[in-house]
Amino acid sequence: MKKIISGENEITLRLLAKDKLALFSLAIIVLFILMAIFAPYIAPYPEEGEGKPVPEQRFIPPSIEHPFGTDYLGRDILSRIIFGARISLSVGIFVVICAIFIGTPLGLIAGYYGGKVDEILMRATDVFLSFPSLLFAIALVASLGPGLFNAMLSLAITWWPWYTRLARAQAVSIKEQPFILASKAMGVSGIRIVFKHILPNSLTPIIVQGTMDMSSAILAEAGLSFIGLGAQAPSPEWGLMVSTGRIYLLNYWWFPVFPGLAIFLIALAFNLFGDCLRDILDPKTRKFRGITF
Amino acid sequence: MLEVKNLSKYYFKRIGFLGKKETIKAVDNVSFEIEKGESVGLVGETGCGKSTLARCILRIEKPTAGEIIFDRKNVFKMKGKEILEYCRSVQIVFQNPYTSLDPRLTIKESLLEPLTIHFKEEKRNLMNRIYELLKIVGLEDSVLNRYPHELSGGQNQRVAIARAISLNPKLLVLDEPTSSLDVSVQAMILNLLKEIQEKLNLSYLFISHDLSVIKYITNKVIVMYSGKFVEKGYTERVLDKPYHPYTKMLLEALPIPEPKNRRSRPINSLHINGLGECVFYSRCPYKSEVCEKRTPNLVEVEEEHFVACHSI
Repeated sequence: MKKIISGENEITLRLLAKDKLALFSLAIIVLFILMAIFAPYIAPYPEEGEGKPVPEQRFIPPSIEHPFGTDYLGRDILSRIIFGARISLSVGIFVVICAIFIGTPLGLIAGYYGGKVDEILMRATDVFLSFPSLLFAIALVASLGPGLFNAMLSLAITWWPWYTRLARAQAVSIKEQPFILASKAMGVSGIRIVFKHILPNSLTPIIVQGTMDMSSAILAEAGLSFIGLGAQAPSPEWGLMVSTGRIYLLNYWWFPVFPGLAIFLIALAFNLFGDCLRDILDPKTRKFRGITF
Repeated sequence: MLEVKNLSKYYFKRIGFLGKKETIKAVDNVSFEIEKGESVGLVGETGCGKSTLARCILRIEKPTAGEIIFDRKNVFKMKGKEILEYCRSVQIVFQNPYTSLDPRLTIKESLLEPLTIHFKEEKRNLMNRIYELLKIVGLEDSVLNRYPHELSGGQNQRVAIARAISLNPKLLVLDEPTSSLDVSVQAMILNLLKEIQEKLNLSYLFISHDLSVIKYITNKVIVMYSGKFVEKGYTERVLDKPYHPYTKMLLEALPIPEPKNRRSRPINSLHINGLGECVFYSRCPYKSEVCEKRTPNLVEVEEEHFVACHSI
């Protein structure tokens, strides 16, 4: 006999378990997370991963001792990529979480209260959105000074307006629902309605957007590091590794290619997972993925 | 107890960017009162302003003009504690029970919310109150840990009713509480509402477009058309001997549960042939010149029976 399903969350989980693409991308994400957590234990040469140069073994092509070869300072590239996962993932998580924490409450308040509050908040976000976000981030880092933390900070600052818009749209559509009107009639305060009723009911698209933004944030940070505004040497940041490796591309291809592949893989995984999540959470797109329940 | 005086709610809509402002009169200069223990029906078609009126009474919308007096206090001039007290006194039950409960909260959480806001008491006492409420509306305790989508429409509506009466209100606004339910469930909910009214000595403002429901549950009725009251009085008398052509039309459109006497008299839909001052002008079969020029006022044609029509 089939178990009776309770709650929308369980349906989501069951659908996820049936979706091969979602499972595949989730597996990659989990793999990278494990890599980041256990970097010192997994990496074949932890010291080199953290930046210790070994001049006598420069540019060794991929081999059994060094599966991804070594770089211009003789460091094992695999170890450096494993340590780099820590940076990339923490950047992604930091930027997205900051953006969600700043953007969502503002959007919900703008959408729920409407009127002047809405006007002021949304025009402010329009100002932020009127710049291309990466360009804006570059300008911010340039004024704050290059560095990993500054890069993360400026990415977070350019990212939150998207969540404000998303959350506002959610709040506007939910606030006319009878259960909100009922709470109003019971004398529930506005702030409580926003955070107790509207927030939980508008989380789904925000989580989906967050998952997909993880990849954009990682890419953007790699880009900033590539042009020298993000992480600084000897950090094993992937964008930085691609950047220093690119002049050796013709002679020692493995130096820029493997970190590049790492960026590609993690960005792809988050993007695919976000995509699957969105399709599963939206009943209308469920059937297009060939999933029935 | 509740007195609505010359209440109006207009919405303004601008056509185009610099276009003229258009006024939509959702509720236009209406007055009525509800006494303790009385149940007043409000009938009218979709979009005639019934729900807007209900929202004004619940303080969800601010009226453009007029006032609402509750127990000798002006509702829209209340402050702080008075507002909370008013919230306790007047509650609402909505049409669609699935959307009137937060889908992310369990039934217990939904029921606890108003209680925790209004009564600063221990959770144990509040839970006792909830068990008591469930008994009144005829639900078992096992629903408490479920979510609204796991319950049937009738069960959800019982929960909504339980939540509405949890604050010991004096007036319950029922905004078509049965129209989205199955016919058999409708009857049960109506009986429940009647029972509760007698037990708790509540006043009802019962909004509906179903005259048979109105007949069953109310003792006074107001017929609304396009934001105005066209007829009001005791339910029996209004429904037995309607004066206003719109009320007559509504009654004629009622289906008769007897196939032999079946008739087909749909309400003639909007065919506008000139707008008059009387809101019903375009659809009225008895219209005359006066109707085009003057707005009819509510006139007492019989004792406690008011009609707004020139042709009487």
